[in-house]
Amino acid sequence: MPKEEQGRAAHWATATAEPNYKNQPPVEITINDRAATRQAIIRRVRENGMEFVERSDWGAYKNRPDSMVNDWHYRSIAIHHAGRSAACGPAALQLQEIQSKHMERMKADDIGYHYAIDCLGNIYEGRDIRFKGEHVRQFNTAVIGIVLLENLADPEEGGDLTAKARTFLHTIGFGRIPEAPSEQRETTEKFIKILREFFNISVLGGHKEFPHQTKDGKICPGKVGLAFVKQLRTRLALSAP
Amino acid sequence: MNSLMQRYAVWKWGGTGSALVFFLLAWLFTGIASSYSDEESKSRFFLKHYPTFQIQFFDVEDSESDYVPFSELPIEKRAVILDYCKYRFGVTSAAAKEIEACRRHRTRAVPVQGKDRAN
Repeated sequence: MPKEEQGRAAHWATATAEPNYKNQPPVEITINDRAATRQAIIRRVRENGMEFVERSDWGAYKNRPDSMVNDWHYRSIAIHHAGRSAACGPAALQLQEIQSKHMERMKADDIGYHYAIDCLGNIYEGRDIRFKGEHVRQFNTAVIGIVLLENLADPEEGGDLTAKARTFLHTIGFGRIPEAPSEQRETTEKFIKILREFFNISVLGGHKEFPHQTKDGKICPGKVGLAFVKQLRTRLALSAP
Repeated sequence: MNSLMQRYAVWKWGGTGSALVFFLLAWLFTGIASSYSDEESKSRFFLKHYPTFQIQFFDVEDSESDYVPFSELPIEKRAVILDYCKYRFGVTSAAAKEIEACRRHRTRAVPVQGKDRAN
């Protein structure tokens, strides 16, 4: 143990109360309960036998903490898919790519989602839960963002060139039918249950279910993703946004 | 023979010159607006209101972020918005009213969070 820490430990082991402390003014002790809660969530995930990968372990780029906004009293969870160009794969690389796009193209302060779940059912930490996410346009306050790291949209969804190309490839036998693997489904359900231990969550929705999102023609989390969200909502007795 | 060579030179250099002028004008007056929303990168070509060699611009209003008044944005983001508004919409004024009007061009249909939300 370094000398400095030894000194600190000795202080806590041997310190005694101040004389006449009852007549002294109270000493205010501040506890960073939000940091403790973040850590407690991670611990609960691991206690439940799931893998939790913290930001530093997947090589997150440095965020811009000065302009991030605090948020805490979460009441909703928004489920996203990773987009039509995504597929099950190495999650760390996927997350780095997503973070880079969010920070470069949206000029976001960090990756927009709070958590990500890969196809093997591992949970990754995104933006620190103490900060407001950037994943549901104009509706980010009190909403936890979870992204499922794959594409959950049917080929024809979107109605644009990409959709036409995907539909064509699908017709000639290329391309797979999107489906969330069972490990990912189980982890998502367990993880939402854990989050409900810490926050008063009453709403669960897919990205486009949140108010005013469909006006922009959004498809996230895709038809397959949305069907999964609806199942979860019924099983967990949560409301739609 | 000589006049044939001269005509060829005029055609050759004239054609190259025209192509260069066309290329230069296209470079100066065409831009790409890049954005990221609905989990996808998007790029759209547009005609710039003022000539510049800058090609890529960021439409940060087409994103999943919440609305933040211009004056409260970090300097880097403000510069990106000013650039986009100037070259995409021809807004050169730094007056808050005009900048906000330019931003609303993208966000007009979406009310700010909380205004029509029960909780």
